[in-house]
Amino acid sequence: MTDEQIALRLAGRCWEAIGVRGDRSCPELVAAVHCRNCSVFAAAGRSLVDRPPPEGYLAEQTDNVAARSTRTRRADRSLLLIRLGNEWLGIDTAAVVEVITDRRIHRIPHRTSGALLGMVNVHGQLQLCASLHRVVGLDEPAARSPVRRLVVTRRDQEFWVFPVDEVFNVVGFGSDEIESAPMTVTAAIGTHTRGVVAWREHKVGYLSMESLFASLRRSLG
Amino acid sequence: MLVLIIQIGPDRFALDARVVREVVPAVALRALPHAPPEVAGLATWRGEVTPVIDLVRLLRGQPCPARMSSRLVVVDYPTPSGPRPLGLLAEQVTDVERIDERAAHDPGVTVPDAPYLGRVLRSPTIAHGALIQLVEVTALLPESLRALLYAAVAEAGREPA
Repeated sequence: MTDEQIALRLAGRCWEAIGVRGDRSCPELVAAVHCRNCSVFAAAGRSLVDRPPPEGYLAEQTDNVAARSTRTRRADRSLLLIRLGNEWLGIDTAAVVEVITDRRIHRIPHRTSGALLGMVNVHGQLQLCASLHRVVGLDEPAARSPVRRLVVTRRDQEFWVFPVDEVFNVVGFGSDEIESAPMTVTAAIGTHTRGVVAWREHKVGYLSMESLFASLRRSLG
Repeated sequence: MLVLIIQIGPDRFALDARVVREVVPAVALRALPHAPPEVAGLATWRGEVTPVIDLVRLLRGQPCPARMSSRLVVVDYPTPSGPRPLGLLAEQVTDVERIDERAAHDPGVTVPDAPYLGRVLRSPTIAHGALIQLVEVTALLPESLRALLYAAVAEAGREPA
């Protein structure tokens, strides 16, 4: 439709005459299905903001625009936030292959010591599964979390699957937001984290996959 | 290339999105007496004194109306002392579009007084291929005006806040 056609239909409030709120005889409806997909309706919506600003609006916006923006965060790292008991940890998304539903972990006979839990079937492939709780020195929860998930991680050709008590989401952080781990973090977590980042009211440990994988490889012995 | 589409009257213009710093609502401006008519005044943008050009005035000859939809497009304007913010007052700043730069043609007509009017191309999405003209921010201000505006900024910056 040309601009003139749009203006003409706009003036006639076509959506009430021949559109979905009228007799539906509009030829545009064949392609658009509903008026909201039509450029006339979009133009009508835009015309709503084409009115003089109310009193005080200009002054308010002037103050808003003059104010220095609160530090614009440049998120150059993204972490998958997971929960182990009461601790929130972040796994670099580059290391995450996928998050899968909880499933049976097949124990490997005579291999029950250390962090190794067994093997899990991930799309028909058996992958090693380890307890992240044990690696970072946290108690495993007495009761299985109802939102327990398995996180499949990868570094080069090596895969490890970890059961976690909850997966939250992927959250972006800037490199400058990573602080060194406070002394209160347990020693084992400390060795496997590259620092902590603040997220809501939590301090999230940024897991070092390099150190984690090295430790797991050693435990396989 | 990604462009910000600005509609002025019946015509659509496009700004290279790479030079756009922010699109904010139109704000109250401090007038610059004796400045050319297309200079709308000075705004404070994120703590920086920013000269504002009325793009509607420049392209259509009438001042940008005060509406809810009026916008200030803050762009990076290259000056000898590095890029500086420049405000462009416009309305109908509603779309961002990805265009194929190779599809842009020389308009065939060069207006000596408007070196900022660049190449023309058909929009892939808007109004069944409406013609869009690229606006070159670097050529937007004549040399004399540029010197005047940024001198005014330096002066305004010296005033106690």
